[in-house]
Amino acid sequence: MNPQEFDRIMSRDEEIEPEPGFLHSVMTAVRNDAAIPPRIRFPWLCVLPQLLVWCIALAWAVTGSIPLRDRMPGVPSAIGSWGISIEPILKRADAFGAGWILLALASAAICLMVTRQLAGRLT
Amino acid sequence: MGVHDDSEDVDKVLAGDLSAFERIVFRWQGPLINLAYRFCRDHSRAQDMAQEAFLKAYRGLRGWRRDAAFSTWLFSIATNCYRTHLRRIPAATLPLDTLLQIADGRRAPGLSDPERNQAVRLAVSALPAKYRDALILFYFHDMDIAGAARSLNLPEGTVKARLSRGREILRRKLPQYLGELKLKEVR
Repeated sequence: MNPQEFDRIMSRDEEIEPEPGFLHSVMTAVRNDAAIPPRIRFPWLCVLPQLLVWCIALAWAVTGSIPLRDRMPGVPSAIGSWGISIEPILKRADAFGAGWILLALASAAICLMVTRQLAGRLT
Repeated sequence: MGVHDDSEDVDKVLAGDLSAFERIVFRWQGPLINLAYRFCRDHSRAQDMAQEAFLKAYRGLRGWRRDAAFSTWLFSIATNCYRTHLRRIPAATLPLDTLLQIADGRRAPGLSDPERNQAVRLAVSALPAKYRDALILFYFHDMDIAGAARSLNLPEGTVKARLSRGREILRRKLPQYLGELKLKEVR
């Protein structure tokens, strides 16, 4: 088989005609698709402020613990420094009701995840 | 089928007139079904694949940037759709070696020309996907490398290399048939 013959075989492939109901079938699918309401977008505007609050709370807790840690020199290991740095964080957190804030944020996050899942199923 | 017809109909579809999309389907159903058939070699499946491609085109109609012809965009969508479809459900074909043996008239002398031609096309369908796609689109676009490259969203050089490699595989597998087949730098 020479290249010309190969070209000829490949170029003159069988031509097939659309089935009689093809156009109707495509348009039915398109109309069904057009009838579906637009997808609900994920509410980033609601989520972003909460994320921001999270970040601020975390940053405040961490930076608030540094001065206390600095006042306790001679802590040699990383594990030791962890133990010491967590204690003031917990004290401070307890002072401004961090537990309740965390609970509220967690419940908001769960609500958002459930809503997003439901919206995904419906669309 | 004019360029303006497509452009006007797309505008109408985007404005909410679905009957304009019906005209687009009517104009392009033949080429899209035939391209699908070249990928899957099955009449019924080709219709299903083409329908899926039209639906994808409808959903993505806003994504057609008018710097390229509507047909270029449509073939690109369809090619992508067909490749994905074949990755999900591969075309029913025999192993490449078996097909090439069938295509070899000396091993199957009773085979008529149409049967042998069909075996050669099936052999192309059985090539690894990237070589198969390049060969199918090259011949679908009347041996136009630029057209094949646009449909595949690949540089022309890559398509040329894949055409060469695809032919090389066919030639290696069946030297007595495709021995003379070399990359033809067409157009």
